[in-house]
Amino acid sequence: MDIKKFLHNKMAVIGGIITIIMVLSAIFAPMLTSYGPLDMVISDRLKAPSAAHIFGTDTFGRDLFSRVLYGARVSIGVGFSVSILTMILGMTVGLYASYYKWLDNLLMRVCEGLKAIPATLLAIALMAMLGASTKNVIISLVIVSIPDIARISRSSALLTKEQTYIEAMYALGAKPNRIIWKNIMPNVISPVIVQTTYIFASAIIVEAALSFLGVGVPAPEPSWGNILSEGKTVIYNSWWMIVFPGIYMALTVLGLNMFGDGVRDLMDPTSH
Amino acid sequence: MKKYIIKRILYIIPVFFVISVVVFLLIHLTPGDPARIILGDRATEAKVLELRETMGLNKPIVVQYVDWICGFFKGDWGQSVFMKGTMQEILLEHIKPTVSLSIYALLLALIFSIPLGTIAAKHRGSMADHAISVFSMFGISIPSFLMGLLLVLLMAVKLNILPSSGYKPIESGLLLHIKYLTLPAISLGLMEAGLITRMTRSALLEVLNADYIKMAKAKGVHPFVLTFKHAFRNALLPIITVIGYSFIDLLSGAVVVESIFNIPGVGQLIINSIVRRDYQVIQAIVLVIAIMNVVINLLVDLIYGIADPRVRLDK
Repeated sequence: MDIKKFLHNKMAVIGGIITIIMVLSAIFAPMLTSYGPLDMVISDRLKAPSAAHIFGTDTFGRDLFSRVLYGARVSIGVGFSVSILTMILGMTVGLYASYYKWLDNLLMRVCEGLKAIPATLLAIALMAMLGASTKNVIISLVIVSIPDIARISRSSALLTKEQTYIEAMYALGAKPNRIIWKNIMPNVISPVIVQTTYIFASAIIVEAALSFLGVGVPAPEPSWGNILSEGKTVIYNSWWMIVFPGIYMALTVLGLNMFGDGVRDLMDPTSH
Repeated sequence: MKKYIIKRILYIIPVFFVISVVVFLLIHLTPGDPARIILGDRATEAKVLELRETMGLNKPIVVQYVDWICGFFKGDWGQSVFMKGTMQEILLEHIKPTVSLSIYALLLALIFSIPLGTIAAKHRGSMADHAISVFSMFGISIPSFLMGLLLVLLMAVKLNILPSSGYKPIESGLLLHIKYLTLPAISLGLMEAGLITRMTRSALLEVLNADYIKMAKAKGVHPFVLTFKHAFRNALLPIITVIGYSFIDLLSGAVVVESIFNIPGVGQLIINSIVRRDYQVIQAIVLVIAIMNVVINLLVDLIYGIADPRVRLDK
């Protein structure tokens, strides 16, 4: 990828910067705030933003700024784990489906079936059955997102497979695994990475929705969905409980989407 | 065309099979014995055994699947542990508000996004185009439930124009029905509006760059006629597809939005069922919405086939 061209794309650069700031603030949360996300001070409950608590406090008197920062760890952590796992598993499915015809039919039918169930709904149903926990959120979201990556990597892999050099590799007697991972995979990776940034963003949204509904990351642990869900109960007198975590989440998703769009435009010459 | 329709319908069978297996297996994902979990810790062993028997949990898993799917086709969609009436009655009662909300949200999204997308494509690179891109980017990045909360905060708490919670069925008057659904529909429709705006823009841009449009322009066709008569018709196909997919997105997105605005739809039903561990209701909801999705996709493909002969002649 051409770095100069990338820097020229304002959207992608701004998106990338926003994403990096969000990730850094999550990583360095303990240095940015002196309050713990679980420290309760009952006498300080539902205090409006002030110098002591810049985002205010929640229903248990916990510092909201600290909860939003630590919530970023949970939410971005879930998004990151989901996107990496989905990328690896989805690409494996897509690559093998493209290489073996008998497998193609089977795997693609399974993906289509999974895709037919709306992602949020399937994730809610999976969480209802598996029980609320961070690990289960990741499992559900990976299951829901695999078909997207599988489809994209399969279609690029099918195009690559037709190339003469792959035929030559085959004729030379290269093992299928070698052809798949060493020769086909590098041609598939760029569209997969673009799609992965979108999955990152949507995983953050769906995780927040699940936690908001009470079937995601279980309570005292902060996640943006949890904080918002608590905020809903006090919406009439504590606006800060909605506005701050909301802006934080929307900015993160916005950053990821802008970055994804920018990278996609870079890789696709027809969009210029 | 006939061949295309038959091929497309046959294609549904494996998809339906996978959906049914996934939905069937859902209940077996519960940690431990589903019957014990449904009845809770205090239930006697005899009660649990009885429920295992009525749910058929003692049979081999393949037999259970066959029983379940045959039952489904015969109209036995399972039994709610908590609610009276057949599953169909329960679902029908709850799906009305959800469908109403989804249609309203889709209409709102279309009213804004098609003109915006058209303007952006016609004036590519202008200030208006950039402003519209920013709008759609924000639309895509703000999850519906966050938008809902912000709207409640803004409208109900500060402005007090529209009701921020509750639901009035269509029988109590269309206007009242719409009034109560407006905030939920805006929060739900915003993301779709962003998506459809982008889709309209890119679909129209692609067509506007086509040779036949340049030709028409060179012949002196009026720009208005050019956009709406010559270009828009061809750009419509991808837009129809997006609308088809959007509707299902909206249906499942409604599940989350309903919980903010206290609408007694499928969303509330599913959340209540999770709390009550009423797993068969959850299974039925997922199955029905997935089937609706498959049918809508089929319809979109068929419309596509009618509108564009290249689609049905392909392969």
